[in-house]
Amino acid sequence: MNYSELIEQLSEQTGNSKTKTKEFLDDTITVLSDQLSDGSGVSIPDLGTFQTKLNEEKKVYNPHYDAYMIVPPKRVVDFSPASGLKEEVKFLRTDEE
Amino acid sequence: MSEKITFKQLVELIAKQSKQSESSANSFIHELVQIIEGGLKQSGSVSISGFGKFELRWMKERSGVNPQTGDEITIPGQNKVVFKPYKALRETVNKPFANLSPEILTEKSESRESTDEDTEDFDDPFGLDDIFDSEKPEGHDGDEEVSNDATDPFDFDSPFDTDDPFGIDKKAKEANLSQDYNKYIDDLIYERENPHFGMSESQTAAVEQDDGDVLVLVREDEKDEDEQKPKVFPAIPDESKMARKVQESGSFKWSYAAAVIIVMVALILLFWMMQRSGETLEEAATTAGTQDQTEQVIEPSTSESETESSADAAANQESAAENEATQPTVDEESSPPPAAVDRQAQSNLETQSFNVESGQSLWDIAENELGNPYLWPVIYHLNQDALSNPNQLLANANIEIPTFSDPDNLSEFEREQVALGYFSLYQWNRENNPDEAQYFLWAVGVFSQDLLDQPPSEVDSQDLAFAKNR
Repeated sequence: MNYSELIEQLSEQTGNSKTKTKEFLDDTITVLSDQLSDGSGVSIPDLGTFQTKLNEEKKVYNPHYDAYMIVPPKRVVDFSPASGLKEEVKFLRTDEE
Repeated sequence: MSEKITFKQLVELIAKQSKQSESSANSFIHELVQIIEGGLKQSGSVSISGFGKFELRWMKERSGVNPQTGDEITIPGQNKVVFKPYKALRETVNKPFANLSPEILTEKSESRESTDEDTEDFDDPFGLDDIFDSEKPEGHDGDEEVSNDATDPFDFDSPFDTDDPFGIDKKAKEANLSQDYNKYIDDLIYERENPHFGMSESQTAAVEQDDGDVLVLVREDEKDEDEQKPKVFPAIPDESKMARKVQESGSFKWSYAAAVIIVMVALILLFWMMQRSGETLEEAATTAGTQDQTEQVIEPSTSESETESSADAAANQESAAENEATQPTVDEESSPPPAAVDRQAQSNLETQSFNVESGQSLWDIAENELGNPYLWPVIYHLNQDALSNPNQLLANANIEIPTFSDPDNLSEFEREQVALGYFSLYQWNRENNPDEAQYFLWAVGVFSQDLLDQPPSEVDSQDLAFAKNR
């Protein structure tokens, strides 16, 4: 499902126009992103938890140069799905398989 | 970093941002969640631009260990929900460290020893390390942006190293100057590194709630390998592999070894095939073997089928021809003039008619009927007109065979006949098989030295020299 399909379904569900739904969704995303970049986690019921995680600085081997290199620390988004969602889709067969 | 805001706070924030009522924001989020869930069930992926993509990933069946009992259990295949943040989100989240970039270590020998480091394998398709190695990036569009060395964000030593290793404080100051360039670099880093991040950290063990009641211990990297989309995430080689790779001086040696092996296999194959073709030729030519008498062998097994099939066709003719039992009936070489009588007169040998059985060679016939296989050239000599090839006999053909009273003690005349047989074989081989011919000439001398001294027809001088000096 891509973005436009998502908005289409959302607008059908909420009864709002597509443009309005899009704005609403964008705002939601902005808030979520801001929260995440501030370092605080966001938990959305039935969907899951968004958190940030710090990957420490580490030494890795680069075979191309036959040498080790230091990879700087990095903060990444960590999503863990809600258990309800997890169970729902667990043994689902999708078209992808 | 793990402080969380409550859902209520989130709804408030969204309502504020979108200038809507809290209740509508609340219901909106619930609708959104439902649709995401529905989309996941329906198509397996939901993409929200500017944010990320929710995906279902099928985890193959794998074995794990129950950490409570230590039993090995099989975890059935199942779907996992993964969230892949898009670039915009990744960048905002990683803002504090955006100006950092990987640094290559130059002391190779030292680093080689530390194999228990957390090593990860990735290519460097963009030649990033060139850039970091030589401070001055080359060969890309961003050249002019980093021309001011004083604020070079990649020099770890000078601008921020001592008390602020990550340059977080100076980030703001540096940000403006290096933002564009950082963006460029980060794109590269993201492209390359992101798949590995978040996996290596807890590589050893992760406890996962799986079937609700069973706690299962699974290695993280195993899980990654199980994942079904290798095109998205390059599989991480497991640790033992990595250690091996590090100990060897370079992975390129494998390609050399492979090339050498391939070449060797090809050579062996070629040699074998040459041997094979040689063998089949030999098989065709020799069945009874060439002993010290250097005879060529007689009936090729391969010609049997051919002769048998022709034998059927010959059967009709044969019944008619059998009355005149003295002459051979051979179908293809259909009309040889019955010179056998003349020959008989010539040779003055007592002969009898003989019907060739399928699979017999002149060598066999000589062995069975004459008592000495080396006398087979006589038979050929007597039937020269009927036999175009001494190595090929037609089944059911009638041939003349001599009757020797005492095969072990041949008379002078009989020896001469055998020698004549070898001589005609020599002539045949001279035409068809020049390499072997000289041995037949030598055999002529064995049976009759006189004949060799005065050959009935012209003889190659080299062959004669060979026959005489052997």
